[in-house]
Amino acid sequence: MSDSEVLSQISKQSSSRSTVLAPQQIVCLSAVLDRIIPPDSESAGGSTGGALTYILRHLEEGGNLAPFRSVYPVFLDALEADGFAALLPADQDKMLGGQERSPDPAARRFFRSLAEHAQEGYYTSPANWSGVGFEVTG
Amino acid sequence: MTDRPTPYEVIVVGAGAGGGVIAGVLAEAGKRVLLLERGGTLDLATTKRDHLRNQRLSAYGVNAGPSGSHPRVFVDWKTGEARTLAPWEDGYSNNAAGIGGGTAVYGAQAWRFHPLDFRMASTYGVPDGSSLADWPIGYGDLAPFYQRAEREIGVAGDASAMIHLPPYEAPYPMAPFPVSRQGETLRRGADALGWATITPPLAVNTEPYGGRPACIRCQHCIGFACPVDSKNGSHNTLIPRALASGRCDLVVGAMAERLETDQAGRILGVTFFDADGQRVSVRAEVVVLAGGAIETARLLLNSRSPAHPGGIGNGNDQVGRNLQGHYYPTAVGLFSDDLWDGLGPGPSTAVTRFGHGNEGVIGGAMLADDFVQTPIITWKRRRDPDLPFWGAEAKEWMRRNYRRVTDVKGPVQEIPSPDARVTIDPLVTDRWGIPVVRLSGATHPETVRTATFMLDRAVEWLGAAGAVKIWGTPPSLALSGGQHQAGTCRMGEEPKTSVTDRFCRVHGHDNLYVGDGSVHVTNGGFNPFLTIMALAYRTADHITNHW
Ligand SMILES: Cc1cc2nc3c(=O)[nH]c(=O)nc-3n(C[C@H](O)[C@H](O)[C@H](O)COP(=O)(O)OP(=O)(O)OC[C@H]3O[C@@H](n4cnc5c(N)ncnc54)[C@H](O)[C@@H]3O)c2cc1C
Repeated sequence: MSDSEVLSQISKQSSSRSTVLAPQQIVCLSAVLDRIIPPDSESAGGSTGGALTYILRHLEEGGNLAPFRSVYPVFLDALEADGFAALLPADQDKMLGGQERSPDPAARRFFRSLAEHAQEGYYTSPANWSGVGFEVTG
Repeated sequence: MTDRPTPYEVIVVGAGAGGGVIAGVLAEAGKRVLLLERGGTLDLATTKRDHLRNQRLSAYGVNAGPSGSHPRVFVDWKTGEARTLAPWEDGYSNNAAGIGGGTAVYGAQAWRFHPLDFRMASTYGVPDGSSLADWPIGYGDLAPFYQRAEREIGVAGDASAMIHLPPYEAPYPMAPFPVSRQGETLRRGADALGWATITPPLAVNTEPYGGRPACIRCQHCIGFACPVDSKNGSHNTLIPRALASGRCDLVVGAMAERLETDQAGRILGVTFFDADGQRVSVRAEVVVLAGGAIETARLLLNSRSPAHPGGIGNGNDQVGRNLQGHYYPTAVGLFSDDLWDGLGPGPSTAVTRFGHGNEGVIGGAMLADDFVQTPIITWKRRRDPDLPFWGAEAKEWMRRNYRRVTDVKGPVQEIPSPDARVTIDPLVTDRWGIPVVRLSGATHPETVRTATFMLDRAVEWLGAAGAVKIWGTPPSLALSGGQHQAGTCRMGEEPKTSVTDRFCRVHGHDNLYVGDGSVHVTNGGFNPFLTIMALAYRTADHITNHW
């Protein structure tokens, strides 16, 4: 899919509506989430497996992640300035690794938080429960 | 202020483990009881199943109260920094708020304390800087009340397996849960070490009991309300009995502010804010405080008057001191096969041999496996510390190992410090204008030594059971409290070093009782609710016989 196709798809999905992130930033966030939790043959990645929906919903007023609403756009714009979403996965991993080990402690902390938000969205999404072996029977 | 017409003989503040039992026993004994509870109903509809906002993982909120209108101030013992916290933030020391208190959403491990848990000071001596003391009563005083709680609340267990205790007078009313796959593995490890094992007693129905069905073995037990009402607490036993007697009024959304006294200092009643925010004053012959160890201390300390400038029961500066909970050292073991069979509630195998008699440390703990852990709890608290926090390897680890990790952990009997305490914050008030709690200090360093010893035993057990990798966080000095909070109004013969007498009556106030975990002198090497309830039965009998 080209960027414009992804963008038009995102603006159609109600789960991707956001008052905090612009469509372009959502495209970038989706790409980041797919490196934090990569899709594979057995299960979805972060962008379609619940992490994106969770983060967008909870960046809104009153959500779990509302205190982060001003940092997300800044972080995503900085990644996008380097064309993050269009890079190959290996190069994306390098850029994210740079965030993880950034000399700037605030940048390191934010990346850790973002990764944790992704895991929260993913592992609280019932669609991913049976994949790890958590089956709800009652 | 409205004056509520007072047909009541007893006011009970707090409808939790202790308060619920006391209200039920007194109402059935013919007393007219007012039961005040700041929260409301805690059932599946109100508590839901949000994996990030619940009483087990309160990352962004709680599901069983209290609301954000109940802040506390927490002082870091290392830096002296004070912060105002919401109930779901680290350091707040939350339990729950609502009908049943903690018992509406708890794990329901229903342990009796060990006879030596009541005699810690005479067994071990008092370490420097500690306020360690014996209880004024012993195991034998509580045994009949333990048995009554087990029968009336409904506990499933095997009395003959409780080898660390004197023989029971009667069996548990229900057979224990079957041993899980994880339990079988841990039992093999314990056998190899020569350690005897026990199925932890649970206040959960293994067969229809008390008019409620058997457990359906679901995966959302601890931290959540039971979907079929087979988890037993005060909310579905003694509180309904109190109401059915026709002699108990339960008022929810009722936030007690202070005790009222006459000129001479005698307790007249309680002032509370009702659900509409109206201040109401109500009188009775007897008042029982059962708001949990932190809020009960707050109520006493906030009840200042010219006759009681430091609050009620606090003439010797004892109220709020000796705050305890349980250090819970936890070892996680990774096995090469699936261990979890998918069934709740979870704890299936315990070892009690390390409660006492451990070389070089004071006291000890029961060790057991844990309740079902949600995927996100496993990610946050049980993952391999060497794992990257993002990327394919992390994802693969969860997929492969979620069912292959198990915890061994235990509630360490804490060595109390008089400086671990509840006071009243001089500045911060809640939404009713009531001054809030200020938590400060830390446990005694001996607690950390015992917890470290217990972590080593947990690691040893997992190793013998065949874990291929084991990890755990070494304990460090901190303030305890939380869901197992206790100790802030401890019992004793001597008013200089205690707050209540052996019948949980506040020294100097013959019509004021404490009916919750506050009265524990020490908090045992076991989960506390059954002891809180046993004491509540005993206190209620005492009130019935004396009023
Ligand atoms: C998730 C979880 C798991 C647990 N698992 C176990 C377990 O397996 N085994 C075990 O033994 N224990 C367990 N516990 C702990 C157990 O629930 C507590 O030990 C027990 O409930 C404490 O009883 P209590 O009577 O002291 O206070 P609570 O049960 O906390 O009751 C106090 C009540 O008073 C109310 N209150 C407080 N202040 C006021 C006021 N000013 N006005 C009006 N009302 C007020 C509160 O809202 C609350 O409902 C668990 C707790 C939780 C939350």
